[in-house]
Amino acid sequence: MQNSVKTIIFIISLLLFHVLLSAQEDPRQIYDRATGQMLSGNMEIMMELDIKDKKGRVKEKGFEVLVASFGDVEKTKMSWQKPEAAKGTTVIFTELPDETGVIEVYTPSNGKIRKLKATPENMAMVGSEAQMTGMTSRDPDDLMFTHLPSQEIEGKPCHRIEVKDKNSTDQARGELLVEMDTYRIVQITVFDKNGTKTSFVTLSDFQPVEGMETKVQPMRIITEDYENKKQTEMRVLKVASRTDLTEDDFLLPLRAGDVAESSSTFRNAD
Amino acid sequence: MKFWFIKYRLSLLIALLGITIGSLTLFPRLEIDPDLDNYVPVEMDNRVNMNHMDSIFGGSEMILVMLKDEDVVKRSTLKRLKNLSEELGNLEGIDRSVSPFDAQTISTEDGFIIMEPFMENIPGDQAGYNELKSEILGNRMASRFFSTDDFELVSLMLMKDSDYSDDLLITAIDSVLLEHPGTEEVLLGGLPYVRYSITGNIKKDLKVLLPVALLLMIFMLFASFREWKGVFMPFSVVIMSMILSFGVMALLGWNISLITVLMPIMLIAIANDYGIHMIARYQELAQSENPPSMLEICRQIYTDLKRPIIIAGLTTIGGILGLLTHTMIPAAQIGVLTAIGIGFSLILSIWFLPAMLSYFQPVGKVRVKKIRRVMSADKWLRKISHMVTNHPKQVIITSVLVGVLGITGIFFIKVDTNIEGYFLGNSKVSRSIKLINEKLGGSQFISILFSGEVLSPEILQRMEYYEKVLSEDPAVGTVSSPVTLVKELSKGFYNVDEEGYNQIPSTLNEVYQFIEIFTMGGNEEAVEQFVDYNYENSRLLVSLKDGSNMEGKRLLKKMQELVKDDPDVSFIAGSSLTKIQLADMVVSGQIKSLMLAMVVVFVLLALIFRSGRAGFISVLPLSVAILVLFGLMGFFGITLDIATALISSIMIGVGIDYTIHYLWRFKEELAKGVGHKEATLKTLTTTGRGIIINALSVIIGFMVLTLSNFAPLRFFGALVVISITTCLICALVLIPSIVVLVKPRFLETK
Repeated sequence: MQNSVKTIIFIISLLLFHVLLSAQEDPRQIYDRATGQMLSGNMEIMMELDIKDKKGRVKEKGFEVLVASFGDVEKTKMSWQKPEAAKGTTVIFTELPDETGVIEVYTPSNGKIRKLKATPENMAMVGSEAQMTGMTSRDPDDLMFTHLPSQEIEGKPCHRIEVKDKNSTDQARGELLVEMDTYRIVQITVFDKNGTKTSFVTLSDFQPVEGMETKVQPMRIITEDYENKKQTEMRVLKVASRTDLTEDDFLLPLRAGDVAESSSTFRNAD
Repeated sequence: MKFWFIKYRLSLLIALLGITIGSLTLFPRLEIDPDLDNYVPVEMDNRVNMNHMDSIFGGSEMILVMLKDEDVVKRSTLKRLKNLSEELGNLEGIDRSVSPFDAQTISTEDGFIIMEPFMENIPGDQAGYNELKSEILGNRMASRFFSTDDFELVSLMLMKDSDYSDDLLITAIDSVLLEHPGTEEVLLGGLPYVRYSITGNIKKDLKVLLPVALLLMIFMLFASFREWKGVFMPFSVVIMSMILSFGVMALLGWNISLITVLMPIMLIAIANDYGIHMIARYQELAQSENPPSMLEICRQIYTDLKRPIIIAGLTTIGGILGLLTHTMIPAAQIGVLTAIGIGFSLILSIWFLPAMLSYFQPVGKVRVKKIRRVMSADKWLRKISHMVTNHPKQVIITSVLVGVLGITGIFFIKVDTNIEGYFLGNSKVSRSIKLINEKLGGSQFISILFSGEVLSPEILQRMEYYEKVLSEDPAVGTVSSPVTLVKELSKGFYNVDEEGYNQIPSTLNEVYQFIEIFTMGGNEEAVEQFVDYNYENSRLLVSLKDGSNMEGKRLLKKMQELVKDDPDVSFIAGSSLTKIQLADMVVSGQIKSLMLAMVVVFVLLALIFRSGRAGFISVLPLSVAILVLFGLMGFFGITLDIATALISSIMIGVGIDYTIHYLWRFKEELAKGVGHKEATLKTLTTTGRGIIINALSVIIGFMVLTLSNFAPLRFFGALVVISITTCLICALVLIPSIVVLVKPRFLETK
C-alpha cells in the first residue's frame, strides 16, 4: 500500500511540475517538454488500483484524489472509494511553507478526525516521502539530466534520459524513456545506489485531459516494485482540470455528534 | 559349479568392488534433512494445514537473534540490535525481520494522533534507560522482545521463507553477526536454528566418535582373531554394505534424516556378524589336527556356513522390512535401505569373503592357540555351558522374571519427539532454547486459523476471549492475535477517557478503516502477521513455553475444546502438532513393525526348521530381550522418540542372527551323535565365540557414542550397548537353556 501511494504521489508530482516548453533537444528540454504536456496545477483524478503481492494475491482499491495550491499552501486529498468497508475514509496532506504541515485522517465509521504532524518521520510513515521530495526538491533545476543512447519501445524510437538529484550523494538515479514523436514518458526505471533496479513503471493509454485538451494523461500505469516484490496496476478512470477547487473542497466531512475537539483543532491548523 | 566364486574369484572381486565404487560416486547427491515436518506424509492433516497457513501468512517459522548482557536497555546494545535487524531483514530467505524498533506507540494528544515508532530515539543516560524500561513494560508490541523481569535479554525475530535452506540462512546470519561485533553475547534460537544445530551436531559427533567407534571395533576384532585377515574381511563386508545402502539412498533421492544415522549402526551390528562367523570358522579349521589348504578351507566354510548365513540374513531382512509398516517416512526408508545393505552383506560374506580369503595363507596353528589363550573365552563359555546344562530351569525362570521387570519399566516409558530436548549440557543451543522458553515465551507455535469476515467485532471478541483463556495456561508463553493490534490502534482514535479507547470497535467498517489507515503508513507487515492480504483469514498465535509432547497434547485438547463450536475456526495447526502426530506415529509404528517382525521371524524359522516350536523358541528370547530394552528405557528415563524407537529393529536383526547361528551349529553337533550337554559345550565354544566377538566389537565400539554431548547419539550408544548385550545373553544363556530343557525335535537329525 505504501508503494502504491508513492506511485500515485509520484505521478501526481510529475503532473505538478512547472515546465518550460522548448523545442531544443537537450535532455533537460526533452524532460521539460515531456512533463509539460501533462496536467499541472489543480486537478481531480479518479483511479483504481490492483495491487498484487509477491504471492500473486490481488487487492483492489479505488481513490478519488484532489490536488490544489492555495498561495504557498499545497493540498492533496485522497478519498477511498473501494473497498466498500473503507469507503469515505479520507486523508488530507497539507504542505505549509517554512513550517511543519498536517496530515488529517477521517474515518467515517466513527466520524473521527485525527491528525498527524507532517514531520518527515510521519510523512515517511504515511508513504508520502515521495510527495515531500516532489514538492520541495523536484524543481528541474535541482535535477541533473544526461542523454543516454536512444532505445526503441514497441517499434517506436525513444529518448533515454538519465535523471539524478543534484543534491543527493547516494548515486540513486532514474531513467526515463520518452517517445521521440509524441514526447510522452512511456517508461521510468529507478536504480538504487548500487545500480540495482528497484522499480519499473510503464505508462500507456494516453488520453486528453477533460477540461484541458492540450494536456494528456496516461490512463494505465503499471509499477513493478522489485524491493517489495509487488506490482501495482493503476487505472485512471477520470482526470480533469479543476481550476474551480476551493479550500472548502479540502475540508473533511463532519457529522452531527463528531468530536468538536478534533474539528476545532483541524480548523486551527488550517 | 558349486565353488564358482573360487574359480572366477578375480572377476567376482572386481565386480563387487565396482558396485561399491559406483555407489560411492553417488554420495555427493546425499543431503541431510533434519526437518521433522518432512518425516510425516504430506497428506497428514497438520502438514496440509501448515502448508495452507504458510501460503496465507508466509513462513511461520522464525529464527530468534538474542543479545544477552547485564542490561540490554542501553544505547550500544539497542543500536546494534537495530543495525542487525535492518541487515538481517534484507537477507535472502528472510520474509521479514521484526524487532522492538517495529513497534509503534499510538496515542492522541490535542486531537493529534501520535503514531510514532517505539524507540525512535534511544536515550543516552541511565535516567533515560529507566524511563525507556517503563515504556517497554507498557507497550505489548515492544515488551515481547525483552526479558522484562531482568532486561538481560533483547531479541529480534526473523521470519523464515519456508523453502529456503536452514544451512545457507544460518551461515549468512553468522556473517552479518560478525560484521556487527559488540560486547553482548549473541544467541540464536528457533526451530530452523535447532535443526541446523542438529545437523551440525550429528556431523561433528559422527566425524569424531564414529571413527573412534570403528577403530575400537577394529581393535576388538584384532584382539579376537590376532590376524589382520580377521579384521579386514568382516570389516570390508560392513563398509561395502554401508556404501551400497547410502548409494541406493542417493539414487532414490532420499534424504539423510535424524534416524538414518541408525542405518550404519544396524549394518555394523548385523553385517559384521556374517563375516565374523566365516573368519571364526576358518580359524577353527586352520587349527584342526590336519589343517587343510586355504582353498579347501574356503570351500569348507562356504559349505558349512552358507545356509545358516543365508537363513539368518533372509530372516533379518524379513524382520527389518517390518519397518515398512511405519507411517513415518524415514523409518520405512531405513527398513528398505538396511534390508538392501544386509542383502549385499550376505553376498559379500558367502562369496566375496572366501574368494578374497583364498588369496592368503592360513594362520599358523601355534598362533591360533595363542589367540585362544589371550581371549580365554573358552573358560567362560565352558562355565556358561555348565550353567545352562545343569540349571536350565533357573536360567529360564530368571529370564522370565527379568522380562516381567521389563514390562514394569515399559509403563514408565515416555514418548517425546521434541527435538529441543536433544541438546545436553551448557551448549549455546541448549542455553538459547532455555532462555527462549523461560524469558521470551517459547519459539514453538500453535495457530488457530479463522476464515470469513475476520475483522468483524464478533470474531475479534471471540478471539479476545480465547486469548484470555489460553494466556492463563501454564504451558503458554504468549498469545498474539489481531485483537492486540486493533486495540492499540483504537488508542489513536479515542481519548483515554472515551468509550472505545483500547477496545475492539463496534463495527466491521471501523476495524477495517483502522487497519486501512495503519497499513497506509507502511505497516502492512505488522498486520500480515495476523491478518492476510485481503482480510479473509486471520490467526491466533500461541507460543509454548514447554515444548514437550505431553504439554503440547494437553494444550491442543484444550484449544480444540475451546473452539469446537466456533463456526469461523477453520483449523488448528502448528509445527508443535507435527511432533505430536509424529509421537503417535512412533508408538503405532513401533507396535506394528515389532509385531510384523515377530510374525515374519516366527513363520520363517518355523518353515526353515519345519517346526512351529522352532519359531516359538526363536521368538521367545527375542521377546525377552525387547522387554528388557524397553524396560530399561523406562527405568532410565530414555524417551521413546523417532530414533530410539527403531533401536528394536537392530535387536531383531542381531538377535535373530545369533539365534540361528546357535541353533544351526547345535543341530550339526547333535547330528554327530553327541548328547545335548556336549553339543551345547561345542556350540558355545565355537559358534558362541563368533557371537561373542561380534557382540563385544559392536558393544565396545558404540560405547564411545555415550560420550556424545548430543542426546540422541548418547542414547543410541547406550541402547545399542543394551540391545547387543541382551541379545548376547539370550543367545548364549537363554536359548541353550531352553534347548537343553525342551530338547526340541526339530534339532534332532532324522
